[in-house]
Amino acid sequence: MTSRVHLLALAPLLACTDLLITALAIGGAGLFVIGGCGALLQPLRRFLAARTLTLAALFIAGTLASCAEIALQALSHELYRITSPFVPLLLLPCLALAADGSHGIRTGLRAGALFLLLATLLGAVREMLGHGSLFAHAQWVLGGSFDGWTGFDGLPLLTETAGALMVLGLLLAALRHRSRDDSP
Amino acid sequence: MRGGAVVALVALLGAATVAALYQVSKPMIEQRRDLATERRLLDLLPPSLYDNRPLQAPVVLPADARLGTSGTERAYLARRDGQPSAVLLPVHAKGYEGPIHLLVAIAPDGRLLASKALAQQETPGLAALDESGPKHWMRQLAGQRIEDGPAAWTLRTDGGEIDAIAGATITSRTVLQAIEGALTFFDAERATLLEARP
Repeated sequence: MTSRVHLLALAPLLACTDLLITALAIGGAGLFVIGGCGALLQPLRRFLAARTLTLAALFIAGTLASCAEIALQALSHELYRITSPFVPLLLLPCLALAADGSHGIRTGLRAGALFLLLATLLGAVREMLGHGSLFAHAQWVLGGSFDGWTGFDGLPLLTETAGALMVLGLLLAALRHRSRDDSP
Repeated sequence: MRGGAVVALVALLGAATVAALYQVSKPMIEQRRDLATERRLLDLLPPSLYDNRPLQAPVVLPADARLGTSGTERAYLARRDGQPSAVLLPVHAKGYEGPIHLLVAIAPDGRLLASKALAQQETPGLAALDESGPKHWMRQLAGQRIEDGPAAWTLRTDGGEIDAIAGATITSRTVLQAIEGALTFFDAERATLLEARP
């Protein structure tokens, strides 16, 4: 049932990936919160029934999301401002993870890693084609004068959420196509 | 019962962790916030234009009709090698949807260097004042002076030379007049503004 975990992470994934740097920020937060919650829940499964486990997952994920927000603030105020509405939404996949029957630390980590990977991919594609730049606003994190590369004007549609859905759809279609090629 | 105790322990540990982490990173967070404010205001100026830290020494301006301000506001003076290289003036205007706050950078000779919206509520997608980029509407005004004459400060619909943002004529007119007001203010107060010592 990990597809439910991924589905519930869709809102942060689509909303924060118009720039590579925000995509990396929300992806890192996702890996930390979802992966960390999965790992920390594992030893608790022995003590807790399904319902109390969900409650514990709520507390753990809340703690991790707050820690991620503090870390983002310490990293860059601009990144925090953009991603902060969506970091608490990362609790939803964590709750799905708790309700998920499949055990093992790996489940959460794999879901988190996949989230980071997808966010990075979407962020790179949307920034390159949408803004026509790469690593724009790098100075939010690095300071200094380096502010990414700028190429051309880009397609503004891809910087909007509707464009994010399109890019995600095309990515999924490409994945489907490849997996169909593998099987005869 | 045991389940409840475990959950309570988890909640307590979580709260303690967050509190401790916040205490540890508080100075870092504040420093990052200051840096962000500085970047937000100073990205109007190319870094080569100043070597002081303008935000450290604000010039306090009383309320002024030419700037549209109803309270004291802060202007900032950028210097290079001790010489004034730009003045950043705050301007308030009444937009189509609500107040527009602009920051206007002016060179010592009265040329407009750049301008940007700091706060605005104009219709998203039509009057995109927030965006940055080489094609931004406000870019075309850079380099203009008051001496260029009224046509350079009037929209084409009003008989001037400036194209309005399509579908946002009122916003364009407001912003144009606000920037003109800032330049008029600068021309009148040039001596006091440039002489201001931190």
